[in-house]
Amino acid sequence: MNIPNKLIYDLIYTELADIVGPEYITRRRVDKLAYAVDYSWVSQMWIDRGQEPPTADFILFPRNAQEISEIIRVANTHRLPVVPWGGASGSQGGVIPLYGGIIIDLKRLNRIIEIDEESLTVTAEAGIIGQKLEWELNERGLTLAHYPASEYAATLGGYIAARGSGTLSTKYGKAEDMVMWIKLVSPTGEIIETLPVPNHASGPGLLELFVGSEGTLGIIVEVKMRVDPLPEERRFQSFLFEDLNKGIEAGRRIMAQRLNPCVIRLYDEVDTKKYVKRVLNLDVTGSYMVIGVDGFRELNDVIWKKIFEICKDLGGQDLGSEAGQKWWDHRYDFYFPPFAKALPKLFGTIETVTTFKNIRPLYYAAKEIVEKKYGDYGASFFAHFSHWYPWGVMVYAQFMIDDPPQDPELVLNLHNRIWADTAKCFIANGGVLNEHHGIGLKLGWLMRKQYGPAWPKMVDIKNAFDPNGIMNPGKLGFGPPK
Amino acid sequence: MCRHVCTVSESMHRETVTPKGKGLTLFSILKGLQTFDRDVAEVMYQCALCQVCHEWCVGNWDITDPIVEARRKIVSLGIEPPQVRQIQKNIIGEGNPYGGKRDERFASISPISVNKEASVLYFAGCGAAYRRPEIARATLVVLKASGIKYSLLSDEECCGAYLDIMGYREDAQALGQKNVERFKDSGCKTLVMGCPHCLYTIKERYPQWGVKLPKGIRFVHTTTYLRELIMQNRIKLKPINKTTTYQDPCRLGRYCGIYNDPREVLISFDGLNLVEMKWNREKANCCGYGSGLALTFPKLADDIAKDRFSQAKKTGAEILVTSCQSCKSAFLNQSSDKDTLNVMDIVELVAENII
Repeated sequence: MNIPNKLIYDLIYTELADIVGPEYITRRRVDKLAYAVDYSWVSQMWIDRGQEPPTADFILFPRNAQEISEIIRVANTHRLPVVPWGGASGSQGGVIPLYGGIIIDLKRLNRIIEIDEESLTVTAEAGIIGQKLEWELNERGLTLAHYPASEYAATLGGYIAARGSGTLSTKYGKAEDMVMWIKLVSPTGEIIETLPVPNHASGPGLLELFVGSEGTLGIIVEVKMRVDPLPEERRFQSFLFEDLNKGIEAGRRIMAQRLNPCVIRLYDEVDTKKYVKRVLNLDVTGSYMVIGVDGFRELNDVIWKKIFEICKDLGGQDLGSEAGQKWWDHRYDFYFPPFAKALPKLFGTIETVTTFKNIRPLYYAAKEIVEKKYGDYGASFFAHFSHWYPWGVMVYAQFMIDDPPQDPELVLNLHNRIWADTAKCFIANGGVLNEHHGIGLKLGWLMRKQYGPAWPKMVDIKNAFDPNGIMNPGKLGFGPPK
Repeated sequence: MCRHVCTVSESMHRETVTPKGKGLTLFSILKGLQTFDRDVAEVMYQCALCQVCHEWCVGNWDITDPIVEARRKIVSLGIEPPQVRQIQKNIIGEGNPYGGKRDERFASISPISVNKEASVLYFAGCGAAYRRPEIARATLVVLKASGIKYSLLSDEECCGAYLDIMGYREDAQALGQKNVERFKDSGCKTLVMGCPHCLYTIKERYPQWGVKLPKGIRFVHTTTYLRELIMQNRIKLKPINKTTTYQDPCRLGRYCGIYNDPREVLISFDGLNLVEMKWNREKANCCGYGSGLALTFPKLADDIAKDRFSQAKKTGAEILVTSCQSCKSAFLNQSSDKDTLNVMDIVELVAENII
């Protein structure tokens, strides 16, 4: 608790409770601990080793933007950090209350405001859980087409704030491509909106500034998203390539020919052997790829033919549609028990994105660093390539040590060193820190390196919006509160 | 995953009460970061034990057993919420969780038939006896119409479900033992229960506690028994030209796996159009009143019930049928004069339409 004494603590409690009502504020220990852990390895490890985690002083459950605005004004008065909390499904520790203060849980803001079936848009409050929104849209023959593994927990606002990708991003884009408009409570309490549509020539994009801001530039309270009609069909096929390079080339050609697949999922040889076998029960050697297309059947027939030609030309063995469909049906199983990597193992996902030209050198350089430098610990490196662009692809690289040191400080230090070495390798090879997991507390210190001379300008923007530095301090590399 | 479907957290929108939050709380206790206190106790009792989370869990984790075990620990420390302790007192003192007088158990059902020669014993359960006697009355109408010799226990009392659920395992066991002796003495061959909690507790939990069930007695829920009576032509039904939807009670469905029997009863009515709610069978949402939540956190239970009732209304059905007195109470309490959706227990629907 950064609050000087109990008297002030109680006074602030009274002030906050007056805004939301006593039923919608808590300072119980049991709640503080529940709001100290997200999906990040660090926060889970800390609890697992019995370490006292950083906790909030207050957790609030406001109902609307006006209440959030008032909370933020109180926070500024007392210089209290504010952490927006959606589904806590992030893996970068983005919602961990590093400096205490106030957590604002947004899940009571869960209403769908409008589904515009003429324009194909949906406007909803930011706290609605992604899967709930998707079900509502499905009932009208629509889809958000955003299928992250976190969709059962993540909120709509979180999709935008964390700049996430879904499984079908190769066709439908990332959350940043779907968002059209947001309403936001600024770090000084004003309720502001971006322009009604995202494509315009009325100056730089204010909307884009908040996308991926991870709660450091305000709290997103309402969102308008583009939606799509549910496709007439969605079909999948799986192929096995001799090695990863052949698989990457197949993916590159499919993208270069603008065949618009909804998914290309390519597993390297290690991932194929380890996880494809374990989750999908496919015991194959090589590089496993799933390709999907969706939309009108007649159009898909034409696209499918071209995709088959490319894969065949590169020696891809057709494993059939059943294996592809099985992957789709079990696409999230990889991230849940018993298949997900879990403590006491040491693991991390160090994903990045770069151009096709850079992808191979980047992948092999990172693999060498992890497996050679940390070979004594038995570190393994493996990856899949799952979000493809016309110009390049994202690498979902992972490292794992089966039997790491158990001392919390030692293991945290080892975890951080692997991260640092690999992330710096990515940057040196033309990659960016990540494509969809975000920065959170984990990668913040690398932002200066990544942005180079542009970083002070980013900090200037943060300071202009948030003069007291109260919004989600310690995240995105913006440092502690002032 | 569980968090988007959890009956309680979908109403409260709080991390702590999600299955993940409860698991984390217990884990924090194991790790020495938290102790059992009254706040933890409150969280552990804010669960409908409906197991819908289990249906959505990719990892197949079951949080309900750890929660019930945590409640036992909480009880052993004497820090359970007062409303929970009141339930225990009521059951021990008056034989029911509501606090109704022991000698008034069948006041709204009487005269009851106590017949040592009867092959069927109807175990009404506390819910029907004290809260929804119309269900018990309807059951007796059906039994009479079918020509079956039936009996009730003059000294019927709670099956022990709520004692078990609330963390009073030893009390539940003792009650279970008493009940089993009564079942033996009754001489019945079939024990028919209208309450899914009773069915699950007697049939599944008693043996788990070491309470041996008497041989030669079949334990069935009313829905199963109704289906058998209809199949055997012991009762004949009038047509019902109404659209009907069905609420799967958690204890009957997810706990006992009974989904088809009630549906078969419903479709045996000529003209009845059965329409399902979006979430049904294994994935049916809880009504909110199950596992004593209506007694321990009534506002929360009503919030949950309201949501499920609106899902039922969305089907456009004219009748909402269930086969649990708790579900019926949950929905009736949300229903207003404006609602055209008629809430009934399945046995009432049958009783009202016997030819």
